[in-house]
Amino acid sequence: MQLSKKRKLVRKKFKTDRRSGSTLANSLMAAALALPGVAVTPTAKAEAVPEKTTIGFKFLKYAEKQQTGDRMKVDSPSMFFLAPIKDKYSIEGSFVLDSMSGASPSSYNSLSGASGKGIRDYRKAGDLKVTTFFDRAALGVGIAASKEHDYESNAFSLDGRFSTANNNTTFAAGVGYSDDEIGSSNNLTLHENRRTTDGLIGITKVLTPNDLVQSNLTVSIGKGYFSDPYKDFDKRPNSRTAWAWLTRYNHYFAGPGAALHTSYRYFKNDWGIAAHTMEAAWYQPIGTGWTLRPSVRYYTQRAANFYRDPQPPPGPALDFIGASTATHFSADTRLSAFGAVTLGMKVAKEFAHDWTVDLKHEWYQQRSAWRLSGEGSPGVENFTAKWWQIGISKKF
Amino acid sequence: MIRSSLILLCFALLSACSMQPVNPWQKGNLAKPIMAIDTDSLETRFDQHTYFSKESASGGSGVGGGGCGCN
Repeated sequence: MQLSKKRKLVRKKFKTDRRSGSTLANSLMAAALALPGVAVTPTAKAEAVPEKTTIGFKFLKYAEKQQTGDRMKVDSPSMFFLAPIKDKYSIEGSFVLDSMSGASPSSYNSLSGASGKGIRDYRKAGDLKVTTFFDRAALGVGIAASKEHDYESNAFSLDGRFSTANNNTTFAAGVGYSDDEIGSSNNLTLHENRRTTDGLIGITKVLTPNDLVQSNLTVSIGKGYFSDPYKDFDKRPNSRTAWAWLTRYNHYFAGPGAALHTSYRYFKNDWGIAAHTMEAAWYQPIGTGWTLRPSVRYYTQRAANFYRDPQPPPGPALDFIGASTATHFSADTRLSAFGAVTLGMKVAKEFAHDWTVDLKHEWYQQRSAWRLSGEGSPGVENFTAKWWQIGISKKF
Repeated sequence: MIRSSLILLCFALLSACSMQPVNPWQKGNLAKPIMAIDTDSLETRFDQHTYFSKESASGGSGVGGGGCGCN
């Protein structure tokens, strides 16, 4: 068969590629990983069943603060697995437990009863996906669930991918559906619901032996309750349609043997928010099995058209800026105009027998003044978050 | 609507790219783990969840990810 011939050729190439220290299996796994996916997160998806089983654990430690003090802290242990079944299917899934403590950011809950109040909450979330592989295509079915004491979400997804005969172009399409139940510990009689339908079309193309580009367009149509039950006067529209157009470009530099990942996303929803996200990461292998990855990200958004700046005491109460009479109103600064920068560094080390250990630190800051366009909110406090992540994974 | 049409047009142009096709034996670099679109599945999940809870924009990379009470 033509396909197996091609694979043999690829294997031959990998066997002679000693500089990277890749084993045959690693390379094939990598070949699978290099191709695109449509899922809750795009991962080892290709028109080839993964050759190995992967199990990984990660622990995330997240802490945020503002000028006026420390805010939320989150500890999140999580696990991931991906396994081939026979040579036609793969199954993958993840589970995470978030344990949150502290106070939510003052500007997010400004002047509401919850501001500064100590919070302790847990979130359990998991997802599972089964993919069936055909000659040059793959079909995946997934479920995902997330549960908190006042919020529950259940989601379903279906996605397909199809490659051209030379495997240089892959088309993807997917649909998703999510059903969310919203409650509130401040108002036990609140039982609201939101239903969201997602769609995706995408294309991934091998441009040259060193260039890979992917472009996806997603739409998300939500109907139901969008307001935040913990914020006074929060009255958001009962529908939201959002578009996101994400393009990712990876280039391999043969000289330093490094990879540059770049991406740009344009986002727009019918609440008046438009946003740009730009990311770049440099993957630099050093020594035996080490990889160093510095990264940078810039994000900017315009404000929702019903967003009004909260005035900290002794400023006027929300009532005086039209909160109670407006059809739609929110003082949640996540709907304001702002810019944000993330700086990150990750170190990974591969050991014998397919063990990998990684460590990552990221610093994130939001500032009203860093927005690219739209009206800013000079009174809103800067927001800073830092997170550390440690992981271990094994393939067998 | 005009914007959507433009985006679709760009897709069409991208898919019609007529560059020299890359042969299977030229894909050694593309097959390296550091050239994967998603190099670390759990890390991607963490990052997406963090940004989802702090920013208004989301999406672009997949479908069917459930919501949470964080936003």
